[in-house]
Amino acid sequence: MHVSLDSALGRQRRLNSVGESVLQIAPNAAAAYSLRSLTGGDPRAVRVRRSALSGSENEIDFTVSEVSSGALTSFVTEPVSALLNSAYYFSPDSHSHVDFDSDITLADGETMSLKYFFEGVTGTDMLFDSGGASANSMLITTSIAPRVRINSESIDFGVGCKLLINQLDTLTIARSGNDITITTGTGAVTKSFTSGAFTFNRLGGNASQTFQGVFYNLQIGSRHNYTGLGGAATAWNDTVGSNNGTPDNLVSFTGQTVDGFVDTWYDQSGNGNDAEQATAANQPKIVSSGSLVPDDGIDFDGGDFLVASSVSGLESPFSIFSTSVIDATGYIGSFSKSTASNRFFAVQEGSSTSIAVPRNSTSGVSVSASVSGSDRLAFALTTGATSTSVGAKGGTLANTTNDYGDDFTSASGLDQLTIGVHRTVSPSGYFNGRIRELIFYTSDQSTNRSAVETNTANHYNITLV
Amino acid sequence: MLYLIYASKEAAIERADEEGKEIGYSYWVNGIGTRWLTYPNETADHMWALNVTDYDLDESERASTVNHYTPLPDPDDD
Repeated sequence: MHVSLDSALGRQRRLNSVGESVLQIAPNAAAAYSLRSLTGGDPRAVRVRRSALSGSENEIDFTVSEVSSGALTSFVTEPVSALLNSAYYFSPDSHSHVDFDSDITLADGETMSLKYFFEGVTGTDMLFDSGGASANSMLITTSIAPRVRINSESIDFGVGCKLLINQLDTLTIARSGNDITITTGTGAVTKSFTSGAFTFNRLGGNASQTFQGVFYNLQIGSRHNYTGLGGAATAWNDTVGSNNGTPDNLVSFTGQTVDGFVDTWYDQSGNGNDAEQATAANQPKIVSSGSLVPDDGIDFDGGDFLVASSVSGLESPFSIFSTSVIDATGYIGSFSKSTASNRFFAVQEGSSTSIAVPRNSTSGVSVSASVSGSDRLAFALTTGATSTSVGAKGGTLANTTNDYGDDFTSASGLDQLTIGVHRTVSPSGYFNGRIRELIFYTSDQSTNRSAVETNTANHYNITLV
Repeated sequence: MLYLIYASKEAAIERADEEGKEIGYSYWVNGIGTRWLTYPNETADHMWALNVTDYDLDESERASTVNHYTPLPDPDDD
């Protein structure tokens, strides 16, 4: 059996061996979360839900190699891949629209169609306009349902033909006399007007009622056709007639509003303590606007969190290695109790400190280590109710002997690991930033600290102190 | 934000389930993964508030929404 010099001398390991993974350096973790391999193999990393929908498989697993290879990003953008860098994005911030040379009035017996992709309305948004919203227009209400105005006569078509969100779909408007029929992927609704002469000369609305999304393939019967594709300034030229469209403030569609969210961050320790979030609104983001979020991490927005539930054997000593990039202060993760607010051991990142925060029935204790910069690498340790330490970026451990109640034993009832928040009962202090890595141990990892932190710092290009 | 207030957690989750099914989240298609758009939170008067801002509400529900609620204070014990 090989025994290192450090080990033989009972000293802290200074360096990891070349090629050694984190879990080889410091095995027997309770749970280990990262987008890189902590095992040396190619373990599952995340289960991702994509915001753009297509078919029934909109949430699947990815290994660490599939995260880095681009497979994950391709999955997230696949429903709109044909439109990327070809179609135009209509941005509400810049009042994007296309003005046509002259009014287009839907003729009796004629049908017009428009393909679209958008993630939802920002208010009552305007899709087509001529002479202002109160005159001739098509609005999309907060129910995502069309409202048509013809010569100031306004009629709501209702949710029976509401637009689909986060899916490619086609909107058609057909006129038969004074009847207008609107059809979307939801269904078709017909309404009667005093006059059926639906008229517009703008796609995309005005300054106060913009529209957000992608539009292409606008066809007006057989007399006007606009591809809206190809990325050139002529994309909205009439390819059949001569009523050209002039784009204003359109931007290339690169996947704006196309995001990927983490449903599960898989545990690489082998214990199956996968951290999950079944509620979409609380899922952290891994792909934003068609690209992986920065910093090789997962983005928590100040309200997102993941939980590994029903975890057994959570008795101190506890060690946590956490690697993150902060936008604002918050808790990176914790050992905690699913039914109590006053039992946890958490690591928190402050504006200029990394903080260990233990609490077990009595008032909480905290100990902090100074740190600079937004990239963080913290080591938090508690070996008993009067022994808690924390270190930042390899720096000297700050210690406290303040009493946080009882040692964490089986009687404490800790039964979960949280990521992005310190507890699930009366949660607060949600983390805002990217979490790169989080490794929990039910053991004192002081002797492995230096080697683990060296490995981590090398991977994420973090300068240790 | 818009919230619907329910007398029980079960009733709130039932509405959250309904929306999750309508959206077609993975849990309802494949039996695994994302289940809800939002999840209810307990209020100070022990009701349950469900954030329905992005829900497809019917007229009755829309008329019943409130703009805010008082969350349950930190119990600070177990």
